[in-house]
Amino acid sequence: MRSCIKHILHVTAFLLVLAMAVFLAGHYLMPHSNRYLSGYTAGGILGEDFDTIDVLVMGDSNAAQGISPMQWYCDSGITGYTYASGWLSVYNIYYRLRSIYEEQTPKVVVLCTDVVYSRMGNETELQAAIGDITDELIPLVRFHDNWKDLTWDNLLEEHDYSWRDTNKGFTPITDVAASMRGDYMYDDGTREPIPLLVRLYLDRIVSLCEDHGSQLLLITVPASSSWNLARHNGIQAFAEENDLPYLDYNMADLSPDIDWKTDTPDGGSHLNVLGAQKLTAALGSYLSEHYALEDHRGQPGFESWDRDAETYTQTITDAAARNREAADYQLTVLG
Amino acid sequence: MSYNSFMYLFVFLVVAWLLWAFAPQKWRPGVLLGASLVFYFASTKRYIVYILLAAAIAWGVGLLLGRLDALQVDTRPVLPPDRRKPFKKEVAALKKMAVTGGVVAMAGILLFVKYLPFGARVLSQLLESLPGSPVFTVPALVQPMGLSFFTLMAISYMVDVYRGSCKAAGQYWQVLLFLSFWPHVVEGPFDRYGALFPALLDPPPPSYRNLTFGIQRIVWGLFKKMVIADRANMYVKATFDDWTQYSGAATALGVLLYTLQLYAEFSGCMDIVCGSAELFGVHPAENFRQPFFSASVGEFWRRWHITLGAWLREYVFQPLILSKPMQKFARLCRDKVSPAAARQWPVWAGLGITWALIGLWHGAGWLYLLYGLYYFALQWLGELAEPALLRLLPNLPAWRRTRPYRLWQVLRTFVLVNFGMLIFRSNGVRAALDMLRSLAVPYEGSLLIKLDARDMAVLVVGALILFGVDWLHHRGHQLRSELAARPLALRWAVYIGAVLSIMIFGAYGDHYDPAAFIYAQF
Repeated sequence: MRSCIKHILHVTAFLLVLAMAVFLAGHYLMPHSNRYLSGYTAGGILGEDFDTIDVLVMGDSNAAQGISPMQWYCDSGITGYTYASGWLSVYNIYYRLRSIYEEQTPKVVVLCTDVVYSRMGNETELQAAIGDITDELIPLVRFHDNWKDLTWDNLLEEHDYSWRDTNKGFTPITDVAASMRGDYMYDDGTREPIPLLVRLYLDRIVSLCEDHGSQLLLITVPASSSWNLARHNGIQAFAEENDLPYLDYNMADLSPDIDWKTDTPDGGSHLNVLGAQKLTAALGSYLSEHYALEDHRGQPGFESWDRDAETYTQTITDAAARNREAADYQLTVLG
Repeated sequence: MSYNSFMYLFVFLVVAWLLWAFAPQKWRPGVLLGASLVFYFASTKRYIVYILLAAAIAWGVGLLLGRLDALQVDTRPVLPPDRRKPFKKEVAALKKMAVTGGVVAMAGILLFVKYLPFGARVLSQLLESLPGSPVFTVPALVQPMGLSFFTLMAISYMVDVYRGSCKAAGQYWQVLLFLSFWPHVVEGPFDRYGALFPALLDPPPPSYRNLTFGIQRIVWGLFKKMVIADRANMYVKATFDDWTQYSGAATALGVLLYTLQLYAEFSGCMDIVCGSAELFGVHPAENFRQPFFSASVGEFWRRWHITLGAWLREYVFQPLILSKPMQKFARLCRDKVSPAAARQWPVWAGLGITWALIGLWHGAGWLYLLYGLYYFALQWLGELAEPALLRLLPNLPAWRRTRPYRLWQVLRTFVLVNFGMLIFRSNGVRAALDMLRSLAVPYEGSLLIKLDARDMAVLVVGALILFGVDWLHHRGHQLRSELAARPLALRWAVYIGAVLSIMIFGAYGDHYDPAAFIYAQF
């Protein structure tokens, strides 16, 4: 018995030392700048001043390329940030939202629902969940490959997480590749069920938002190649069960007039700048009408936002012009 | 459920071990059987029926053989003396019929599932010159996980019972546990019932040493698989799948890295499965013994995939050599050629068939046959050239005892094995020949294909560690035992360093495309 207790203590002590080593290595291998913390420019939210974001958009690449919060600031002074990157899952979003709440208290959390059904093709639901949750809980797993970025110069460099994104998480894409799918929201009478583990984490996101006093809004970014009515019905049922508002911008009644010949860079998977401007405007109107969101323009503490707005205006004007050129060419090709 | 997956390492193994450790001793084999079936079912679903059927056939044949033996023991003494010999003959004939039936049934399942489409293709090709010849096409059947492993283990069980090397299992579940035992059902090793089953049936109680040594071996296997093999795979995949784009040094490096990948992966898998079994007090047969320190390809194959070679030697080569047709062939050689030919030619014929079977065991295709025959040709030519070499270099026997000559032999074997690996991995016989030719064409592009300089550095360091550990084992060191005797701080530093190196340098995550275990496909 004594030897058994000795072994248990021995193993416990070893596991503790190992856990410390793993977490220290994970901390050390985190990117030196928040610019590289996540895909696209999601990590920029860590550079924002505390409690300045009123609307937090969370999602995958559809959100990163489709929703431009700076447009809301320019139009009505609403501060928002799109925290989104490629293949971000519901599991990732739950843990990232939890860490964002340490610095921000958004009044509205907009969850883009593409993430509910998107999964890498070769993974099972369980594998995807385990992989993503492990990534979030053990930083060393997520950032292990950063050892390649270590040089003699940055070996002992402190982390600097003050980088800010003037586009507030939005990535403007100016290419055009038309989607020829036609009506993709036809009614086949089915409802795609939400996978069990995804459902569990959606419930956790709902609770997390409630605990922090944020109102959760579900939306679906227009995506003709990956969305359909069965998926809409699945999300609609979840929204009704939890008494949450749900805006599916793929539905005709909410359509922000996306032109699938010109407003997508990749045949309907994502939106380009022209599509993003339409979607952002439609979502902005809804936010202004349904939530008490303050106009922060000119307020003390938001000077950097006013400066960012000028840069953004220039960026988006140039991008939109390039996008329009590409769209005109596409229309010519299509005849 | 892959052996290096989170599910296997942190869920399946942990739950199975806890259930096994806290179960009463008499229930432990049941826990192992339950865990094995869960593991197999999780990976193959309805194809579990194959292994259930294989176990039923093997158990039934074993039982029949056991009953016939018992009948002989009980009945023979009470028979009149003149009836004893005929009775013994009758029983022997019945036993032979039973074991032949069992072996044919097992081999039939394997041939039907794995080789039928290839056989039909070959038949069509042979007949295509005839006018109006039929074209045979058979759709490829889904091959259940581990089919090539558990059918051969079932055959070895039946033959061992027939030969009297082990006792027949009394219960069906005992054979099922032996065949489906999860550490050897996917990639081997080919265990023998008599050697493994005592530990499965009556395992030693859970011990701290088995637990820690088992985990250490699993970690070492994961290092080989995730740090070395999965990283090398990216380069290998590019150069072999797109072979027309590369030549010279790029192709040579691809072949070299494939050899490294296959060794690190297969031996790493064996470390994971042997470590897994060790947690439960079971010690499967070893499949590798530092093969790259071999002085000849024959020695290489006695150190590489040891249990496959041993299985074919014992259940194919030896029975073949002693078979009546081969004896007849030996007599024919003696009468028509020479007494020396009567000694050598049947052995070479047996070896040729055995090597062809080694090749074909890996897969149904001409490429695999070529792979097996390549090694046969090397050994055969080596033997044929030996007298001429001895005449040319009379000091050769003395040189062979020197270290520089041994080093030359090891290097020569390494190069020859690499050519074998080129055949084995290439996408068909034509691609293999193209790649062989392209080795002579200079390559002017960058050698950093799909891997950057840092990945290459990890591969070099990983290979040095791998072969360094092999060298120490080759010199007779028992590294795990020796490390266990060192001070605590040093031990923990090594263990934590090993875990961190897998977590940091492992080729997993967004930037990598980890490969499934190669031998799991066979």
